[in-house]
Amino acid sequence: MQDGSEPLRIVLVEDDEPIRRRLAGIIAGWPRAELVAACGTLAEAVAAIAASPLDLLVTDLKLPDGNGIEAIRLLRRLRPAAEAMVISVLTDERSVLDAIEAGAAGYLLKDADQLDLVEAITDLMEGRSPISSRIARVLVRRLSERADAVAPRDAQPGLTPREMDILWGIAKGFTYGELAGHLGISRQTVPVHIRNIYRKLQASNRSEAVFEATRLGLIRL
Amino acid sequence: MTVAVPARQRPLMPALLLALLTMVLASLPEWELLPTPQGGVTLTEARLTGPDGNDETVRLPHSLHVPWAGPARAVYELTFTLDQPISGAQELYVPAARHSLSFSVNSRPGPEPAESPWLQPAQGMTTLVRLPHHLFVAGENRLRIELARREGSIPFHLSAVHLGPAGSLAQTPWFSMLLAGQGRIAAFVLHAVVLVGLLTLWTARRHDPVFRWLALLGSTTLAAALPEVGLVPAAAPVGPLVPLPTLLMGAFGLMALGLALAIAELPRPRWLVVATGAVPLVLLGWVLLQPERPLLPALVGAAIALLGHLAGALALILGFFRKRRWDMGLLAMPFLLVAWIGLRDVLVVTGLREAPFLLSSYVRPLTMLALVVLLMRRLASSLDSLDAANDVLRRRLAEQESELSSLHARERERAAQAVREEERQRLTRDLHDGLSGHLISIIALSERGSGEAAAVERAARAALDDLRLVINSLDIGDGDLPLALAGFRERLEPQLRRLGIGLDWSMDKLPGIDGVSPGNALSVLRILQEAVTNAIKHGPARSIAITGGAGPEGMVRIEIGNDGSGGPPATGGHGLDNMRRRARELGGTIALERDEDGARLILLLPRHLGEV
Repeated sequence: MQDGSEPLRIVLVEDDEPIRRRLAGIIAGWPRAELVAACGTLAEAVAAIAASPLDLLVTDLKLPDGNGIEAIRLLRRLRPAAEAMVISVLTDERSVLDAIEAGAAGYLLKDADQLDLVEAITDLMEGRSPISSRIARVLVRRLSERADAVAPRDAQPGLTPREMDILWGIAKGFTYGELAGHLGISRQTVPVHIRNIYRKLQASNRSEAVFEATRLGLIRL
Repeated sequence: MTVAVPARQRPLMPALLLALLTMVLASLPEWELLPTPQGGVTLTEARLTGPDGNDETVRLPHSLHVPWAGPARAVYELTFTLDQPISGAQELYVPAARHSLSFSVNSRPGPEPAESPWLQPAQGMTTLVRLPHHLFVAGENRLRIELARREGSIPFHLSAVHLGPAGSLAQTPWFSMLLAGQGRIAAFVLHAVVLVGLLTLWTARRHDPVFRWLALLGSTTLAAALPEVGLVPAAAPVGPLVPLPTLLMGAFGLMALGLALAIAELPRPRWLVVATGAVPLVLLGWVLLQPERPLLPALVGAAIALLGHLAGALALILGFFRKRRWDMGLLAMPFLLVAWIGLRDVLVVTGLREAPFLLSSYVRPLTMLALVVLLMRRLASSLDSLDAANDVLRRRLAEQESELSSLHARERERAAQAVREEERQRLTRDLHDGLSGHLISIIALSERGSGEAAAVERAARAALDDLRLVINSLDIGDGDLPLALAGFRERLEPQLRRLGIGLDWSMDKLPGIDGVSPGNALSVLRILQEAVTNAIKHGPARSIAITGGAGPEGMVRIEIGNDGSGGPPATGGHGLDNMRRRARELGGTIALERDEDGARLILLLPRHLGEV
């Protein structure tokens, strides 16, 4: 984690050159950040992650030679302390959610300007995560599908009632402020809860993978 | 078995079988079926005193035809010699005698033979009587047998007489049945049982001529048999000259013909029905008018009966060969037998032929048996055809169902295609409405030169915003308006923050709206976008408040307020016109209010949104 004095080491992965140049420009222009690498392919990203330590991976999902989620998985393995953030276009809530389950803790829209980017990165590094109403809705749907399916207890994310309330509220279109008012919590803690939800999703995704692997006889517990 | 297979086969085998069976049954009376005793004496010579008082010596068996009708008696005196007195009971056995038999031995009356309404002495009966030995004496003995006719004109008949020690005759079950007239009981009961079945069938199938004729024939023949067995008093208006059943025979023959035609599926002429009722009445009248000559009408009746059965049998045989229906052949058999046995009996009655028994009444059970077989077969084949019809129906139903479901699938496919087409058109229109306008502006601005970079960016952002609105509303379903609004808010928040404008958003109190679709959700979002754009452009606002809540008259109220002082005129203006049009299409209204605190755009929407 960043202690404030050191600049944030960032690897950017984006295949569209103008967008990559734009985002790279924004990061380079932000004094608290240091752009370690700006990659256009998954291979470059893998090389960059393996080459040097970093604090944050900002990656697009659709890459010419693979999916950014693989870069996130590699990051989780090689640099467990680093964070990941995906660059999303519209209507790809499912991919964003997949990335979150793979270990991403935030997302950024492609047309984000400097303010958006800085705010998103700051929030992420301070333990807060955003969630849009649409992503919340997809997530709620997924969770209820999983609850219906036969799965061991530990494959469930194990969200607390408060976290479920927040998820449901956002899926219904409430603002953070409205939600905080309803639940009697501070507006600032809502993104913290969301970060916890992300972490549990990631964990449950892992244990689900274990469960699946056990079922297929790939590993023996 | 060949006969069990109903129709559409080569009829040769069943025809042969039926013909053989008919011939066997027809020749049955000629067989010597009665047992002959072992030992004792057989008396074959008698002195006959006829009804007219003539005496003559005759050889037994002997038939006596008297050319008048009504009560009469004939006395046979048989003489035999015993060498020594006999000991032990003796049996007198008369295999066949017509009319009531009584006898005496040496002028002492013997025991009366068995009496039973089922025994019809006039049609011939067998007598077996046990006699005490003291009736007989050594030397010449005289056995006097008297036959008494009560009515009609059936000739007398006496077979050879056997006399011997008791037990010399082997008693078989068939023989005892014959002695007690049990064959007639069986025939009567069978007739009654079949009649119950026939009547049941007839009441259930009134329209079927076969069952009508069957019920008629079955019930009248049984009714005619009732006085015969003494179950009802024989109130014969013609007295003892002609038995009533004889007069009815003609009607039975016509009914048999009607039944045969119905079974052979041929039309029944109208006169047949009339004649069936008229013939017995005419014959009765004839007998009453000419009581001195009753034999002729009786013979006419018998002839009609024979011809009716014969014609019926012919119709059935023709039907059997033409339609290959064995059931017709089966019924032809008893009809032929009735005609044959009837002819034989007529010959016996008229004295043209000598035979011990009249057998017509024994043919009836055969007819009934044939009817039972026929009806069961009909039942089975109707059940079969019912099953077949059910199968056909089921198959057709299944075919129709599959046709219907494929039709339904095609229809659904068409409907889905229509929905997709409509969706595509809507999307095209939505994109064209917003996006293409902005893109054309971008092109125009770019053509003017690099000085317009800021304007190009603004137009591009507007295009992107609009694209987001379209996409944001794409998967909106009923009840999802809050979600669409949240997506709009999530997009708006960073934009306003970038511009330094505060956003006060509250949709907490927004009442539920139904009928929400991508199209009308997009219209709502575009109104909001336009209002926000106006507030930013013309305000210039420092903060924007978007609040949802209940409006007047059950409407939904969304207010977009800003603290800017400027703004477009209250009426007119391209943006405002657009908003008004969209609101109208949604069934709502737009109102613009302005005071010193700022301007408010008030959108009123119905609780149920119509399609736009």
